[in-house]
Amino acid sequence: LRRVDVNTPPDGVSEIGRDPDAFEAFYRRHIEAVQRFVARRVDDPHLAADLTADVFLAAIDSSARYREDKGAPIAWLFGIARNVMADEVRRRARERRTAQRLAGRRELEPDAIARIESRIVAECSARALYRSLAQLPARDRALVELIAVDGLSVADAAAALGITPGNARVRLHRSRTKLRGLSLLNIHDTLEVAR
Amino acid sequence: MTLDTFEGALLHELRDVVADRRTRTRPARRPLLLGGAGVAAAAAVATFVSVGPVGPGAQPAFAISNDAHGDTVVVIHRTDQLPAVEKALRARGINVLLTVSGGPLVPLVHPLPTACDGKVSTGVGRLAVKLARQGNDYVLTISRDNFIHALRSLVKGNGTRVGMNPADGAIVSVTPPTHGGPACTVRVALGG
Repeated sequence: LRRVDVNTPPDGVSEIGRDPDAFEAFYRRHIEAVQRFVARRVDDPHLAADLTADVFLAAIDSSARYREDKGAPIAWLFGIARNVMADEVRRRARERRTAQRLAGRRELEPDAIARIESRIVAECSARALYRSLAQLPARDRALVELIAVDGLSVADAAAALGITPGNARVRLHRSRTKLRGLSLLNIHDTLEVAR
Repeated sequence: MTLDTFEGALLHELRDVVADRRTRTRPARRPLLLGGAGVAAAAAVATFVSVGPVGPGAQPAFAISNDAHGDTVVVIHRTDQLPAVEKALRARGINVLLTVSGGPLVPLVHPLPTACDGKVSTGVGRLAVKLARQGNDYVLTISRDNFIHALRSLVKGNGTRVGMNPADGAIVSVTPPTHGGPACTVRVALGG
């Protein structure tokens, strides 16, 4: 299990919605992690680029609500990214219902496509893991996903979801039981390590 | 870390979003090129901005002016100060990202097209961009009327993004406001 580095300085996160320089520092620090987060969930470079933009836009909007004592910036950002992904899933379902064509996509130069595609290839097994979690109930899936797929600690995953670490441990215990029942032992083992 | 073209362009857009949020909290300040009557009045007064070495015989890196039609005309003498061009245009309410394809902004490492007439149809509006080579200079003309029309349409529109590939190899793409802000971004990549 690859653990993400959460030891990034929280200073300035609350400023990223007001100060372009503070935002740029935040963006440069987290752009790779956000793109990898997205690549663990989608395999289309253009969609990945759009979602990456949406995550940072949502972060700008939410920056005033960031609280340092509630978790590391990356955990906060992953929580936002999960919401963006959930919005995307809802949007796609809506589009299927109305048979709307996907509106235009972000223009990408060859160098950007190559880097996004390399991330998508590198995260292939993580995407398979992510898809397998669809068998879990939604409220259990969110926590397991952030720990097993994205490498957050239990405390940071709890912070990302706005629940207490104690609550998270109770949910994890329940999830482990379900994972055993679903024969997802590899994820079960990962959660054991993450205790 | 080194940003690729997507990451760099996205950073550019998002910095503008943040700057725009800050501006909106200060009601006394308004973008220069966003009001209908205000634009016409501003365009009637020729303005000129240039940046570069100072002194007898020194060639400025670029110059920006308004022509008789109110179009914004950018004359680029050297491509080593494109960020300064972008900054000067942003001050006029025009967000333009200028890059030289294939690498960092170094002076004229790529042969540029002699001319490029880009008129981009967005489905909800049109934006005219004209690029011409005059000797060693490059002139980028952004149609005032088309720009304002496209801007309004994009703000009202559903966020369609479009691109075009003129025959001479230049690429012009239009990205609508990603955050409901008043500015749109025009990306002009000068193909080699």
